Amino acid sequence: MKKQPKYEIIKDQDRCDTCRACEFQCANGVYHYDAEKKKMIIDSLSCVNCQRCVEYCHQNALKIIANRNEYHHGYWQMEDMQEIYQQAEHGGMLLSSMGNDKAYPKYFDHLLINASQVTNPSIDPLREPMEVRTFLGKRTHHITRDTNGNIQIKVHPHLHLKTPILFAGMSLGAISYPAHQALLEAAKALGTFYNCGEGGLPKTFYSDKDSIIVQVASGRFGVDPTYLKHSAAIEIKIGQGAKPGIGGHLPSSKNSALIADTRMIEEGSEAISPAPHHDIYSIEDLRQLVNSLKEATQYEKPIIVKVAAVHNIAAICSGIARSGADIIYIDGMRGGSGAVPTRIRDHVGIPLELALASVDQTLREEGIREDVSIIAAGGIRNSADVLKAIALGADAVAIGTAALIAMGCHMCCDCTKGNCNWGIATQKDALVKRLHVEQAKRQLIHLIQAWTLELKEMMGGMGICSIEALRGNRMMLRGIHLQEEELRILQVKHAGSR
Amino acid sequence: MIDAKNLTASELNTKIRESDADVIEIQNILGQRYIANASNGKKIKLFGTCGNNLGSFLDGSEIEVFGNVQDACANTMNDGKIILHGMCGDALGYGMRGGKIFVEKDCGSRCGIHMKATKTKQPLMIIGGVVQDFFGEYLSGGTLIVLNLQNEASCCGRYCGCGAHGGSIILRLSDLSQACHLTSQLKKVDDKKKAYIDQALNEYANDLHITLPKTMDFYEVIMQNKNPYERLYVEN
Ligand code: SF4
Ligand code: SF4
Repeated sequence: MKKQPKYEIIKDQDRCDTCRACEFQCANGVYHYDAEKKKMIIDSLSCVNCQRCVEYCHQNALKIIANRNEYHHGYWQMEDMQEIYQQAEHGGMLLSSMGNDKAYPKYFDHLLINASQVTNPSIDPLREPMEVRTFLGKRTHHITRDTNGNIQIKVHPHLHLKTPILFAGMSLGAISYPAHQALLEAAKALGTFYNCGEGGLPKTFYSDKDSIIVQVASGRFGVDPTYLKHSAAIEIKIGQGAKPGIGGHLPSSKNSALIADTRMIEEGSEAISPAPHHDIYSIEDLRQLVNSLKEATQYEKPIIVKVAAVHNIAAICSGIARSGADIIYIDGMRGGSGAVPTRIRDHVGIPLELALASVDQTLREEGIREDVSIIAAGGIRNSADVLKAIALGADAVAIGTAALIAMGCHMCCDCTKGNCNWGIATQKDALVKRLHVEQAKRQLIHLIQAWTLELKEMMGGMGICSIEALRGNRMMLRGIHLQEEELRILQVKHAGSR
Repeated sequence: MIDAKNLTASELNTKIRESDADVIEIQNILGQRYIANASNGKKIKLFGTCGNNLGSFLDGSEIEVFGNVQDACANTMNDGKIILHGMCGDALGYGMRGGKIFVEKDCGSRCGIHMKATKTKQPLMIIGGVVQDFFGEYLSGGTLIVLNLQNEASCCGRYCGCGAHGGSIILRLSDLSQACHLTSQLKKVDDKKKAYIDQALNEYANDLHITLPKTMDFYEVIMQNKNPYERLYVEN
């Protein structure tokens, strides 16, 4: 079956001055210059709509549109058929990138934020202090005193964030070294945290340990005592929102000398992360790994357990809270990945909003909410999503895809091939160089600063001057176009309710 | 000498960290977990039954155990040596990337899972007895050797080397029927590998103070694929 191009490139012949910028910018080989005819030849079959050529065309001569041949069937979509053709030809599982793009409800868009009127007056964040500092970790339950009556302060290890937004874990391998540098530099400047993901931590980052969260995933790539030591917190990655229940795989072709060194594996070997941790088959086993890591780092660092939002997430998180972990990271089904089987990405997991509300409620009912902090992630698109997530029970949010977009990602969702024209999801020298660390860092800083300002603005409007007062405060939300059961799970009243 | 009686794992580890003895001897161990986690530069002798996660993240210390050890020993071990004069539970050496583990007797399931090598490190695990299911699953580097010195009817359980894509699994078989649960093909080890095994076994026998049979036949499990995911996916 002949593969049809997904996109059509429309070039304004009158504008094109054959500068060949499109040819140089496209790593997918879509353009080439015919010297005899003195014109650009286009083969749109490999175009992934990354928009690089469009942005670099100084004549604005290019436009990319979806290539849709006229076809209509009430049930079978063209996409369904294309996928069947692909599988009928190759016999493999379909592979995609980034997050679930199916038309499941976006609950964030069905939640409206409150504002003060007359009573409980709103606050102007430009004139009055607004507290968005966030502490992640166990909270002390009660005050203890020594025999003289002096209060004994026992502070559990925790993370201190200047704004309740962190960067999500993305491995070196999934994204490039300059992308990691930009994320780390931005985190340092913002007073938040960079997360190295499961591909190890470049040694050049060791000096910035106070801004780093390191991951311990099933493949244990790059994990040794030195790695654990060079972190502010350790994250046990059990699952990922984009691909709950399955592991990961960095193909040998992407396993360069730098990646092999960072992952502590042999160059050119396959880097496979098994689906489960083979030392964790129960909450008791998880507790053991939590304690083992604490023991290895002398109880100095908070331990985060990252799980994907799945059907019984509330019970799972209740177990995690009892495992001794300090922070639970819930990754919703809109979360991204550099490579993920399409069916898993699109059909496994549940929306972050429902998972988060359910977990927060369960932990409160069980009296263990203060034993853990919650980080919510997986599809946070703007500051309103941040605010809503916090009102649904999160202490902070983590952003992955939004951070990549801030650095220049155009969501072509073609990260698997390693040909990212924006220098992000690639390890190819020529492409990696395209990402300028200083610029990417600046854009990340701007984004988080802007979101923080908006957050303060919305909080002020609600008459709230501390983010702590927003946490789990469902009264600040109202649902719209939601069924009774959805409202019940979210613990939110419908708009117009008294 | 440290008496582990009534000491918690943390108290025990603090004593290990603080000790400057050439050889740290610890008596009366009764199931304490996480002993010598992330330890380096120490020589430790343990007497009793060690709990789970002994020597996790071990970073260069040498541990010798006179007794049995429970699960997840040498979890993510980076360097060093563990010598066990006894048996060991499940998940021994999970994600191990460096150092050596010598076990005198049997081990449980899931041993040597995801063992890997680096440019400078080639981990080695030798089991004197037999192993249970999932031995060497996802193996990507280093060497796993099973000796079955008691000549049990089966030297390893099911799914041995499942998903392995590097490294080598060596089975000592006095009779090929001892590999009855193995679904992979076997080949006799070549001279180069035999020389490596002989050298490794010399060290093993010395450390455990045992005498090995004079002649032993070694077979290597043939890895099904260097890249088990090669044809699994198609770009969407
Ligand atoms: S892949 Fe990107 S750079 Fe290449 S033609 Fe398509 S949009 Fe342009
Ligand atoms: S990171 Fe690159 S390849 Fe991946 S979606 Fe963004 S632009 Fe496309």
